[in-house]
Amino acid sequence: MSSSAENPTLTTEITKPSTEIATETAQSAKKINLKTSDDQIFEVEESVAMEFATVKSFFEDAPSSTDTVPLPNVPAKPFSQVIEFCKEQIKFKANPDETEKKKSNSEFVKEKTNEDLVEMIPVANYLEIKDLLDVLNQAVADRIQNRSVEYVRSFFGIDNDFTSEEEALLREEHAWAFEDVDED
Amino acid sequence: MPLKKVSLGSRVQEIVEEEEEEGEKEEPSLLDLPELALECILERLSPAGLCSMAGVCSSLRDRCRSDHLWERHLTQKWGRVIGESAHKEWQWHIPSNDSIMALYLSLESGKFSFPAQVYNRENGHVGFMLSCYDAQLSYDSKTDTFQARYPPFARQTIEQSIHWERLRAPPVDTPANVLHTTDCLNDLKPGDHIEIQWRRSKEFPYGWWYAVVGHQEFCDGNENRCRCQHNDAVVLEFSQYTPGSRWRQTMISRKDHREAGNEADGFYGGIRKLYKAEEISKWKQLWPNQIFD
Repeated sequence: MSSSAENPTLTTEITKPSTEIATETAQSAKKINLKTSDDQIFEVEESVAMEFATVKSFFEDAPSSTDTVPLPNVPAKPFSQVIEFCKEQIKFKANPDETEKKKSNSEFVKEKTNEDLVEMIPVANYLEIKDLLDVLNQAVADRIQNRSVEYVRSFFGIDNDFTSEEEALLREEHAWAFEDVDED
Repeated sequence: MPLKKVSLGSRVQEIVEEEEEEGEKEEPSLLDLPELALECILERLSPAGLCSMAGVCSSLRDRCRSDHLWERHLTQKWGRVIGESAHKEWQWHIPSNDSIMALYLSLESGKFSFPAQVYNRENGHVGFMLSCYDAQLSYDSKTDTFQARYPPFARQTIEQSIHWERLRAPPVDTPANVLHTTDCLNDLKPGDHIEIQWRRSKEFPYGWWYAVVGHQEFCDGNENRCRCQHNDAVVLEFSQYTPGSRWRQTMISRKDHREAGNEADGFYGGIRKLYKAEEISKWKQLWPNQIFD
């Protein structure tokens, strides 16, 4: 992909700054075009796009590039949720508040379905967004914790490939672990 | 310029491509997650969570049994009470299954009773205040307490409902019926905290008793004049007993102490000097409310 002679597109749209953030960075935010695996183009503010380590290193390797960056492993649906997360994260960069950040992270995952979470993980992994990956992994672990085997199978699309003998043996071996399982 | 290659499991990449070809994608599966992410999720599960995941399918069963996932849980819950001797006994018991998960589950279910030491044996029994005895322990997860079986001599003794804080992994690997070799005799000076083996009679096993090195009778304890460290006789004080009690004090020879005593006062065996602050503070926590005769 070679860099074309096009000028970087400047837009006048300003991100709504939270009250305490200095506004100078938001004067005229540069936008970057990112193309998902299902051919949708997302126009993302540079500050948000730089949260994606993969995209950031792309621009470090080719600083003058203004092309649309293809993200061959990233489908649009989870990507839009990932963007939503990163926009929130940026606020905390300018104004660190661990308690608020935790609260915002847990709200973010709370309203996501299991499917959303599992779809976002490969995206966060591919784009190397460490914070998001941590949040997602923890969220999935929390949802599996204290759940029955059947719940995990149905919600995460896993087929039971055990023979009935194997299954009986496992139940016996791990009997104590199933005492405190939550209702499905 | 191509995007930097990132650590994405090749298996996942294939799956993504397959899905693209099919056009329609299936329900996302936990098993299709990148290796590292799935590993991270499993690392965050509790022991019960891992067991339940192991029952989902064979590929998760194999992953959930891996030692490195259980190592942390074993250390976190059992590290303080499971020592070398318990590990040895486990290997001897179950030579075919030496996975950490199996050890964890056997401990948790109480199926594996392990060697450890119990402070203040027979809780509240005056005769065992500030001592630590070897026993076989088995855990009851419902009450979160232990049952101790003390080695039989005159009678078999079983104690129930022992809490975690009264247990420790044996700090040395000297068995309860063997005289411990003392390596700190020349080092003992007034104020040192020690544990000494003691047994009622030669048929009984040793317990470890807490004591503090004291001053000779003629020494006033003044730092500049005290020569106690250079005296052959070492005074050991058991301050849980009243002054004048025959259990309050004993003297051992610095030069040739091995086992000293008689049938009336019991036998004082090997000594270990306590260097770690937490070992000393543990004994202080166990200090009785009153002193004994």
